Amino acid sequence: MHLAVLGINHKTAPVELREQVSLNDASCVSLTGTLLDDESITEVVPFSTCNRTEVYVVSSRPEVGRRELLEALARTAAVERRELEGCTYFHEGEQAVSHLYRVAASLDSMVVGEAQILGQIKQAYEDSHERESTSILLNRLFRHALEVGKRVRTETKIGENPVSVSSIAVELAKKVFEDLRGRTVLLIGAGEMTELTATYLVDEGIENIFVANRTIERAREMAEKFDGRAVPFEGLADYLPITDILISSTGAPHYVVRKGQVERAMRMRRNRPIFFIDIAVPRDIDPGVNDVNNAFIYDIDDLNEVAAVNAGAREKEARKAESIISQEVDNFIHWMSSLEVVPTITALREMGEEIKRAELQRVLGKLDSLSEGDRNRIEAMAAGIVNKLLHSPTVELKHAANERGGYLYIESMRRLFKLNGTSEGRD
Amino acid sequence: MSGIERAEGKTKDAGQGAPQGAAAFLVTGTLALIFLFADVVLSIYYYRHTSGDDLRWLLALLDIGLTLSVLGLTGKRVSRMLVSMKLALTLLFVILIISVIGTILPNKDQVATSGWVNNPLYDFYNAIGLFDMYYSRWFLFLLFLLATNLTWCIYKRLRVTLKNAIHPRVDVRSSFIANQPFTDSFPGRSLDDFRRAISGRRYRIHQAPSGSVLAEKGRFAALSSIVFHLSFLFLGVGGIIGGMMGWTDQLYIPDGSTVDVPHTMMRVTNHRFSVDFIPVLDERGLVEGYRPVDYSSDLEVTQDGQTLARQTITVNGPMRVNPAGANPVLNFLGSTSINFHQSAYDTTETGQYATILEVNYMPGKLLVYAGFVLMMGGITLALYIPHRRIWARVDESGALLVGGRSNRMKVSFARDFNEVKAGLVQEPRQEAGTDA
Amino acid sequence: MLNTDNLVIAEEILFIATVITYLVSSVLYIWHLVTRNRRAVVMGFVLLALGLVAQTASLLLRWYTSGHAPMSDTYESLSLFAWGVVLAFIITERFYPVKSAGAIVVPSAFLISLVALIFYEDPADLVPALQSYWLWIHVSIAMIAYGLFALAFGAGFFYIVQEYLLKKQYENVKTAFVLLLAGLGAVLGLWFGSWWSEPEMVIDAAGNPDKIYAGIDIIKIIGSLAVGLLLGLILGSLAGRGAARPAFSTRLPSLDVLDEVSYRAIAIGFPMLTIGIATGAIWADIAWGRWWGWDPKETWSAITWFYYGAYLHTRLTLGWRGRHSALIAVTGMAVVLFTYFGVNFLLSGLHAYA
Repeated sequence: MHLAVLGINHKTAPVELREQVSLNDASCVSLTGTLLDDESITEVVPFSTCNRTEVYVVSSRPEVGRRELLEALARTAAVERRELEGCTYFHEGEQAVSHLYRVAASLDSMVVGEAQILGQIKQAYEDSHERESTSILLNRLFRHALEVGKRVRTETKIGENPVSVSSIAVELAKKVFEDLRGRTVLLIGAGEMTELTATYLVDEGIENIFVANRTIERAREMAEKFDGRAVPFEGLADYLPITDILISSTGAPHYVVRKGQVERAMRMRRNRPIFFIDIAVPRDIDPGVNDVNNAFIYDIDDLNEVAAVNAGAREKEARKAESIISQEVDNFIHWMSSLEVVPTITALREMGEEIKRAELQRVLGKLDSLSEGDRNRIEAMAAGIVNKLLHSPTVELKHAANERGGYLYIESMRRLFKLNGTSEGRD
Repeated sequence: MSGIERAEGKTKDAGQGAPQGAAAFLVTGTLALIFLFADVVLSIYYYRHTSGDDLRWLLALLDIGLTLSVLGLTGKRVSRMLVSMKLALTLLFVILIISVIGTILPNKDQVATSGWVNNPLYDFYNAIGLFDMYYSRWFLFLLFLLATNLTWCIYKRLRVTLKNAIHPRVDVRSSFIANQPFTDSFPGRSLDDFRRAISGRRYRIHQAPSGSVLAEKGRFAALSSIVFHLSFLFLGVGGIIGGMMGWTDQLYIPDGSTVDVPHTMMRVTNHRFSVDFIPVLDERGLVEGYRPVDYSSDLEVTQDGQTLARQTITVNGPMRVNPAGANPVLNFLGSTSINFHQSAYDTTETGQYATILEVNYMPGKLLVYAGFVLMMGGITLALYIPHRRIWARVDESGALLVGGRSNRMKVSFARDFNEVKAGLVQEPRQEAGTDA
Repeated sequence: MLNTDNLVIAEEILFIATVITYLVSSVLYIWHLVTRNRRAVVMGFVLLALGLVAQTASLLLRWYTSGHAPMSDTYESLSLFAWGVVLAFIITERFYPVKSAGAIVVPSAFLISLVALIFYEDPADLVPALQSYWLWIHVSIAMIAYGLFALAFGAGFFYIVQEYLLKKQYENVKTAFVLLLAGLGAVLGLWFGSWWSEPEMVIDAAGNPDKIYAGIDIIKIIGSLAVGLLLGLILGSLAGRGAARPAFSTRLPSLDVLDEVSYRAIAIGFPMLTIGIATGAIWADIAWGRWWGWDPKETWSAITWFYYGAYLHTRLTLGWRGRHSALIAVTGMAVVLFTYFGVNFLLSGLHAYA
């Protein structure tokens, strides 16, 4: 029994290579098939997101390692093995467990603490489970990993302080308006960043979206995406009175929104707040707007500053998460070691010996009239029964350990004979 | 206060014809002279007789009349100022500041034992009513001025409010609808669709010839604030009636004695005063002294030898007696009764108890209580009854433009508006837009 | 068993338990604000609710043993004030996400109940002037109004802090905390000083309480005022320094919620105060034969009334909201405190009972 993981992620490989290696459903199936063709490989879970591709395997031979996995992955992804070689990482045993847990806790992510990774792991595991390429070890490992991921999220605040500019903007908007549902947002400039932030806002329930852009076609295009309305760039001030959130990122060299306009709009909206997000450089919105009552303005520097503070906070939480993980890794390793054949056989034998000794003591204690010879014969008989009884299970176990799904036997044996003292209470 | 209203009314008319303007000037001028004459005569009497305290209310009223008619003579600008909201707020602020000062100064009962009597300017302070500030001629003047201002403001607001309620703003332009806090447009929909979508919500529909439609609910909600402000006038008028016609006196009656009730034909007998004491214990549980728990007087009120009432009164249980032959209408309004309150007690030289009663007559209470009811009603309605309006018209591009607002309870209006919207959206594609 | 003495002891013990519970709950709420520990706020809420139950029981016991509604002496009315504040907060907290406002409302309730405990006296019979069921109506309604105004104050203060945080004006955040705690320190100092140099309270021949000013000890008052002010300044600058950073904003409710809660509290509190004053007028009419007499308490409650009336006016007719409204709500607490404490301690009049 041997656990290993081979992977490639944003830290080890450039995005072009990651894209090439990225696995879709079909390639997951073919990779799984390739690996399971190897007799000694008993379990496989491939796992792929936009930032990483990993494959977890369990094999009966410790020799099955980096080389085989690398080859299979290269073949599936249709890339040169040599190209892949320097960009991958390979972990075995305890390191592999720890790696998966860190991934699940999103400590290994590009954005530490992001929430999607847990769902992606769950999906990958469930797919493999359906393909029946998992068995006792990976089943247990992945289920446990999901639990660890959840535990880290609930016991630390790793996911609480947003670190991306867009999500910070949304988070701040929610500190002005409790509920973003039904609010109106005005997007000035149809850039990528504006679009991303707008997507986040729509997720929060923003309904009314106006888009203003120098070229009206581009504005229409973007408005289309969000079911919004394109408005003339020159007349955007007319929309300020009904705007709750304004996001601006034009390449204009001068201010697009001026203080006077905001003051006028504020009177018309009877002081309901407006939240300005200015992600343009040079700035689009007059910084003096911040002095207008009930107007709040964040430029890119402000947002980056918050991001840095939050990243620091996450760093602190990440340290807490690491200690949770090392504790959980210990638990898992403890259980895994109970699945080894040799200790199981030893435990089985010890149990037999224990029963034999106890029974002899009880019986011989009552029969004190026996001669030395009789006594020896009875002892030999007891030893014979135990040995004969345990012989076949012992042989079968040794044999099964080299087969796919052999851990089932070990697990059954431990359960049937109540040998699972080592892995008690962790199911 | 009638002076200014008349003056204001006439000056407005003056634009149409000079003779009317001259007549108004003449009337106002005459009024001013009458007020001036009465004011001077009564003032002289008032300052010659210190007992003429009851005149203060009348004097303050005359001062108001004089001020208003003189200001009325000076023309429109000043009288406008006099009825402005700005003056109302300034007056209110000044009155509150003076009230605060008043709470710090000793009142007329306390001043005799305070350090103020030794002040070299004590007589001057006393003369300007510093120790009876709330009932001084100038304080009453300020209150009356505020009341006048308020009356006029209510009158003006009432006209506007009623006009808006009866003839609401139906004819609006597209841009007006688009600038409402709640707004949306529906291409290809018609006004009939709007009527259908809003039906069953108990909105009142108005149609303008130009093609815009207004659906309205709670159009008289604005009246609630008028009701609220009106309650001040009730309190004020009740207070003035009480102040001008009412009186308060203290009666000292030893057990078994009978005295005349001032200002009336009644006589009151104290049959027996009784008081219960309980011991007051100090920290060690020893009796430190005694404290009265409750006391009462057994009183009998007579008029022309007839017994009008006999009752035992306590501190929180006064007696109200209507004099014989009281006007039945006033009686019904609660404005004729003489109230006998248990105030304090004393022990006479002979060792018997004497009850100390406070007897008063305070008409206008019914107005005051009605004022409280109006006030509560007005506040509740003003805070919690919304005026909801939704306008609709087909704009230049042929889309149905819908926009609305509510002055209170915006969340529940948002729900209303969204339901109307849902009724207008045909395709699943929802081009939504609200602003909660 | 149901010996009155035992019940009085039980009542006092329950009240002491209440004060301690409020203290622990305050610490938990502040702890929650500082660390965002969710367990702290859950425990804080549970303790607060338990405290409220204990206080309710204590008040009911006092009602039972004294035979009159617990609103006659300083202890009783203060206890009721704290009760009103806690009740208003617990109800609001269920409907709005304002847990962090507890860090200011709950400590206020604790301070009020602590002051009440200092004033604790065994229940006594009512002085004749208070023997009326109007006592119950008048005082309880006024207390609910004051509790709501205290809530509006807490929400308003956090509105101002949150707004400065969102506007990145961190110096103003510090100033806000310093002003608040210095103000609180000054009030407590002043109160302690006047209690320390308390004029002698006597019952006059008619059974009404009266104060004998045997010369107020100015040194004591100014001294404790200075100490309170100093402590407030120190605590305020510490708290301000802790709060003046971007991350603190996430621990506070949103501006919308704070504004809404502050307004709602006043929109309910103001009609309550109106009823409180109206019932007071009716009672005064019954007891003294006049419905209004410019007694200091009456005048000050009218000032309070006009003050909050102005808040609603600016909001409903002028469209004010946000910081301006919040500032009015915060300053309003000073007016309420003066009407409630200041009048009794500093001015004399017919309301000198509580």
